[in-house]
Amino acid sequence: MRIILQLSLLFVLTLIGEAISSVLPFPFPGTLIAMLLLLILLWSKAIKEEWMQESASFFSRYMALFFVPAGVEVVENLETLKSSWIAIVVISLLSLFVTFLAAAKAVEITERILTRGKA
Amino acid sequence: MKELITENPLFGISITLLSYALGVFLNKKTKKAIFNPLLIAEILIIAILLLFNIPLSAYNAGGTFINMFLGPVTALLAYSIYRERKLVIDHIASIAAGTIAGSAASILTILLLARFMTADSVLTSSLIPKSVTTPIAIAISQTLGGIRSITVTALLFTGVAGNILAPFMIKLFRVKSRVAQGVAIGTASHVVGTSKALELGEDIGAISSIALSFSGIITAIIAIIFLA
Repeated sequence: MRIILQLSLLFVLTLIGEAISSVLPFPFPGTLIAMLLLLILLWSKAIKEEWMQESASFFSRYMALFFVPAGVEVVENLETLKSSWIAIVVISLLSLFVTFLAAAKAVEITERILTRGKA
Repeated sequence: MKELITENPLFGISITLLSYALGVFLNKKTKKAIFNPLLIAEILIIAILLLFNIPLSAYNAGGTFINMFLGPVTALLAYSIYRERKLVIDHIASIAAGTIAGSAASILTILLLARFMTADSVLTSSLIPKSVTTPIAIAISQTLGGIRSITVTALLFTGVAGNILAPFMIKLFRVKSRVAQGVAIGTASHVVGTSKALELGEDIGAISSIALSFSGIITAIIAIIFLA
């Protein structure tokens, strides 16, 4: 029974998120609004962490299953893929390195400032 | 005759479940990043559709049902942030700094390189969210007017590359702090990279999974403020 309620909560939150997204004056994904709503519910203890357990462990374990159909659509874009694969590979690889470097160094600088503050 | 099977929505659902199950199986057997369950499932299904000349619309009759779970799955990322709230609170400044710097750097490099390589705007929009976790990336790609399947393709490539290259990048950039390693892996290469972070250490893995949710939200905000 609890699993049914968990699923209901998740779908209702997504529905509310989509509804809010459609009336916002700027584009923002409804699924992210749903995520923020759930975070508020958990943090305010309106929903207990344990209460979500079953669906959370199932979905996080097999999360990628639900992304399969979105990726399969690439069969309709094989031409784009064929003509742009070099750009996709180069951009993905270079930005991977730059992102990694920027994130790592920003954390190290922040840690240095924080420890100096404490000393 | 073929249509009797393929036109039924159960067809799309069945091949999605079966090929994903095979992907999980191969991943468990080999424990290699390149045998990513999502990647295997995509390749398998696309091969079946092309081989038997099955239109995407036939697959999507069932695929839509599975796709419908994208929203609930994204919302559940909140649960993983909340579960690690102690770690989040302890390192909030570092995680915020790292994911903001990383997300901004990611978007900027992609914009610059796309201009340099004369990629069109649809391709650029598809690539911008490719470092973040899949459900958020799909949402951002759609909001910016990208092709979401191209986003998923680039994202899988980035994730697998990040997974394989993470130890090398840690050495190359001399990243000593374990928090920095976790944040960098999660921000640059989402869930697929995070599985490598978990191998490097449970603490690095936990930080990496927080970073991937944070960078997803931050990338969405930056992308939408400046680009949409």
